Amino acid sequence: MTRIGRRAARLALRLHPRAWRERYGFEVAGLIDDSDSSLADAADLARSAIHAHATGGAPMRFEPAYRHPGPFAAVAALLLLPTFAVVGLSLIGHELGVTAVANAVDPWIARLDDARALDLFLVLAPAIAFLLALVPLLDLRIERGEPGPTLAVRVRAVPANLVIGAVAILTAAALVGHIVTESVLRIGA
Amino acid sequence: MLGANDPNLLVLVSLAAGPRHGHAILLDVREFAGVRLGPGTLYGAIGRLEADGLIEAMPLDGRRRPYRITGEGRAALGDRLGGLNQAVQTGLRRMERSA
Repeated sequence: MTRIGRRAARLALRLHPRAWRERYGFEVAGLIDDSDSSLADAADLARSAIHAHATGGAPMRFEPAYRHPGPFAAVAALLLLPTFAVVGLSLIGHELGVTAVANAVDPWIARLDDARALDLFLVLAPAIAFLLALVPLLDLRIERGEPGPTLAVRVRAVPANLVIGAVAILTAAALVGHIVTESVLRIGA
Repeated sequence: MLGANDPNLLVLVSLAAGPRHGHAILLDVREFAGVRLGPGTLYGAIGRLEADGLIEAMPLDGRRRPYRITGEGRAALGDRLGGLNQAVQTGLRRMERSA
């Protein structure tokens, strides 16, 4: 097998359901190393992976996120923190009328208009944090039955990830509300 | 055609000669049927046959795990080959008649 073919085949092997890999992965890896074949084998393994997912009733999880929900929640929290701080302080300053906070935050928010990349990051961060927090909780499964296969979605409860996901949604909602309000005020002006 | 290239059938025919591991099955099938099975196709067939109880895994031999055909597998293979043989014989007779 060519080097590229072997690497592609090993990658395709990893696409199989975990249960399948635990049962046959070791043998197939040995076969990939021993046999004299090509990218066609990688394509064959990719096809086999799709078939195993579609018919095997094996779970489709986003590895390694499923095995490590804690680190994913931590990264999501770090990513969310700047947007959460800006939105939180802005709400405290303007909605709750704490002038000192508003006066401290407003110059920083005004500067964001000149820093488009940072502005875009702050807007996208809650969505990315939401995905990072909740993807490790998903357990998708295609189940055979009548009249046909159905997609079963299970969400396990990991408190840290659920909390970060909820905070990300609330932050995004507050941010969208703020953007919409600003837009309406600008149009009105 | 007639399912003679069915990976399940090819694996059963290969194992009818005795226990073999995956790589040996690939080489045997290539030799007796001229069919090159991919690793995914091979282990897809092994998985189905094992789940149906037609073959069984043996203890690991180094990095390789041999498989052997079961009594049930041998009976299923006999039925399948009998059906194929009947179709082949009927086809040949009709070809002779029409020639």
